[in-house]
Amino acid sequence: MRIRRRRVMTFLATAMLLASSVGLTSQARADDVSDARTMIETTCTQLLGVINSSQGDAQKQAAMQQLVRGAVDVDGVARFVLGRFWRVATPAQQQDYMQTFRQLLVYAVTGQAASFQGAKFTMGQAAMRDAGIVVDTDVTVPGKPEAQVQWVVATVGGKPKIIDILAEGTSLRLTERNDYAGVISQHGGQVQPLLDAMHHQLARFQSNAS
Amino acid sequence: MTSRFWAAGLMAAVLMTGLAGCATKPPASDPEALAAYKQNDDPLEPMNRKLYAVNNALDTYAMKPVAQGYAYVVPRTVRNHVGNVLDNLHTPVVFINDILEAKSRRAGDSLMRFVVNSTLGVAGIFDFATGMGWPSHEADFGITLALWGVGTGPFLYLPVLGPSDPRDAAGFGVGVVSDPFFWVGQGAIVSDLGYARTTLTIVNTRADLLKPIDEVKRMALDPYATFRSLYRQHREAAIQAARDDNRHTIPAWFPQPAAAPAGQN
Repeated sequence: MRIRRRRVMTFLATAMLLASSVGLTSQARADDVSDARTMIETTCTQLLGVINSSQGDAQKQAAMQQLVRGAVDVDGVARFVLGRFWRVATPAQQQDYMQTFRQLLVYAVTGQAASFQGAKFTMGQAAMRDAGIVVDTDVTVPGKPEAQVQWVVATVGGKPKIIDILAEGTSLRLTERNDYAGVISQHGGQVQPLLDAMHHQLARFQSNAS
Repeated sequence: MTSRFWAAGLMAAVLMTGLAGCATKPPASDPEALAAYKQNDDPLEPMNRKLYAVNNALDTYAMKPVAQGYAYVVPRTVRNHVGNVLDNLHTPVVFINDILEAKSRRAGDSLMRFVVNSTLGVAGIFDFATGMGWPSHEADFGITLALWGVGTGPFLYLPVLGPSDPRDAAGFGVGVVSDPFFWVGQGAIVSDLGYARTTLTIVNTRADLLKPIDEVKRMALDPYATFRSLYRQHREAAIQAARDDNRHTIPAWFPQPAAAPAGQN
């Protein structure tokens, strides 16, 4: 009798512990989701604020660069994009890749800025999905149909960071990964030709910018 | 006549398959490379890349300059209205596919779009239906086949048509013949109108894509792989959107049932 009671007690205690921990994690998740949504709202407001401001191009670029570094998990995206070839690369190549990728990402964002002149956005829902927390926004640019942009957010180093952007259902980081893998596979699985192509592209962007 | 032209293009693609050979499959000792090979599902990659190069040259020296000239002469507002008219003419095909996909609400949207935009919208020049709660959506026979359970098949880069796969290529052919306007009327005027519509669709669409395509080419290190990825993801998203569209069948203007209390849905 006593053994049975003890068993029941243990069972109940475990169940309560489990239930409370489930409650805690779901609360933590709800907090993460609302944090992510707030972060996207702030970032979009700031980004469009910079794009639609009357500052000079150089100032805009510097402001956007700072925004991107603060809001995007740049290193995580870089690792995702190189994927399985990260392990093929030598430590020197890895370092070179990270450095070049960071610079290219800024040009990728600032290059898009002109086409978002006058854009407005409305916040949609945010929800936990397989890829991370997905925050929906609708972006309207004058003279163009409304576009659905989804932001994938993950907690990196205790802070919500953007890890992917889905434009009308196409993932930017996945497209980028396939792009880079295309270069590597066209060159017999070597990482160096990709780095050369990245350097070449960066030089082109820098000469266009100056 | 146009369908014969497309059929000839497809035949040429099939013939060139034999000439250009296949991509080498990675050995089983490299499971990650093998997984990537399967995910790309592009066994005809060498041929596809050659056809991409041909299409890219065609685009650079013919389609793009024409589209640029058109966009220079025709203001954006007019181009948007041209787009509306072309979309409206295409709506019957969308409607047929909504029915084939058993998506009754989508079919209702398409029907109302065609009725409203053809009348109030003056032969489709104005798109009033979107504002009235009947937004446009994508539906074609490729998506229909996907919802019927037909697999994608390997990636194909078709001459003139661009990125595709066997399912979408078949869907494209069915799309041409399932267009009611394909069968309407006879004689020189009707076929000239048909050609004008096809040409205008190609030029107007290309003009809409001037900036996005330039942007992809500016950013991509391997444009072929990038377009392949974008095409596949876009089709997958369109299929998923159709699959997930299971709205209940009470129209927006009908008295709605009381909203379910929070927390019950």
